Amino acid sequence: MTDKTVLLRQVHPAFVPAGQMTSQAFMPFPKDDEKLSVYDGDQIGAAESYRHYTETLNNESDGVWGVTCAEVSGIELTSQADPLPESPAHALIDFSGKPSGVCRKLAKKLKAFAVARGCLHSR
Amino acid sequence: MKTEFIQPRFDGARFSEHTLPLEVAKDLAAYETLVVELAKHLYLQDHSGRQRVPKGFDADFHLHLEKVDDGSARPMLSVVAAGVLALSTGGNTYFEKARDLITECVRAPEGQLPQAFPRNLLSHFNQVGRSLHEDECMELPGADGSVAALTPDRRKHLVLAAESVYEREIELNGTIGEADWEKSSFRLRMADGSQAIVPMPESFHPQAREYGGRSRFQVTVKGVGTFDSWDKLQKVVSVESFAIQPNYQLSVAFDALSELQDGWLDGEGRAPNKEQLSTVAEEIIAGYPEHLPLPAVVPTPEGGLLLEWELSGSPSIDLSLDSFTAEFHAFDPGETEIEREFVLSSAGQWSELFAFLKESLGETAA
Repeated sequence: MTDKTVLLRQVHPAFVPAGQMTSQAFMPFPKDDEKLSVYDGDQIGAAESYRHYTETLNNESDGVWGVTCAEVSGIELTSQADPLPESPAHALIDFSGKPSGVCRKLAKKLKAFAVARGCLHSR
Repeated sequence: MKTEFIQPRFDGARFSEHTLPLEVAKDLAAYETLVVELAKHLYLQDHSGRQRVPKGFDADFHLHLEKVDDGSARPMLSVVAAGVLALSTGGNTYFEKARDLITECVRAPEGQLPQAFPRNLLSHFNQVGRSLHEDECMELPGADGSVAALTPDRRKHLVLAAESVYEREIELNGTIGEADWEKSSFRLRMADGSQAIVPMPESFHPQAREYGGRSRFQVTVKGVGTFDSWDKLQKVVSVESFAIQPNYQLSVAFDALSELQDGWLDGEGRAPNKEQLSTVAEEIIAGYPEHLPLPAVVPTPEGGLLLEWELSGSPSIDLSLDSFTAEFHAFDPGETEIEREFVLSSAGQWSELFAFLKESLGETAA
């Protein structure tokens, strides 16, 4: 992954009420050990990642939004590849050690980057 | 004297317990009216020299609901009369003849209504069967053992055979636009952009004055409307009830949240506690300042709520339903941030939060 790599985030429908994106889409889930799951956009396109997430992994997604590795590092977060057997293009944005209030602020910043880029694929 | 007259059968989910919802009584009363009107017509046809039926023609004809039998619900309608219904034709009373002709009319194939049934009485099917839902029907037994099924669609076609519109029950949601006090009506603006003129009783005038033009207040109108053959609403004919819902957009959002179950987030995610959610919803719906933009309200995987506004500074509140605490955060243009924590265990504390939002978001929204 390079600074220009777009990290693709699948956004659950509950976090986009009436089409209004919320920062909850970029908050790491408790089960994910303070890490936000994304797809490495150099390895998989937005539409393909959507199909993989919803059809292969059988999860729900309202659409795909993206932030670059440079944007992630610009707000003092880190990103890294994290290939999994069922998801070779899997990557992470690491929120480790950040209190929940700080996570919320960082999630808002990631949301702002993603909204500026626009939805990359929608259902 | 009591004589069994007809035993219709009501079929559909509402009748599975072999009971009859009270609103269906209106349909049965309308059926009785149609029987009487049709009997009068048949009498006058047999007595062409007469302009009107004899005095007291229908005085002894009163249908009573005698009992409700199983399968699904079969109300027995009996004639309770002081004496014998004397006016008869060929062994049957005109009322019995009317009963059989109604059944024949309901059963008739499309475009082949019985000649003996007068077209001007088809409008009675605006009332007969009006309470039936889409998956329900009222079956009328015929004299020959056959059955005629009156469904909402059949009812519509019977009325439209003689009229350009038909009536059915309506429940419309929208906001109150301008009111016409002289005609005692108001314009209802609905979410899909359509509008309807709604008649209102004088008792509703104060509420129409208070909530007219206020987009946060939804009015629900229940009553009867006319529809054309394409099922497009033509007119609100009458209104049975009005209900006002403040901040209805928030109410809809909280209703959706209350439906969440544990595991809502791809197998993970705690659902908000229903009781705590209800308490929070009531406070926010009742007290949220009218002139502030509405937030998006979404669940968090921990069972809490996020309220977030699409405003400069990305203001948000993380609301814990476990502790009834709210953490407000917004970016300030001057590189600093606004952060404030609220405990929300009393009405006064909720008022404090709303006052804070008015002050901080009011400036942002301006």
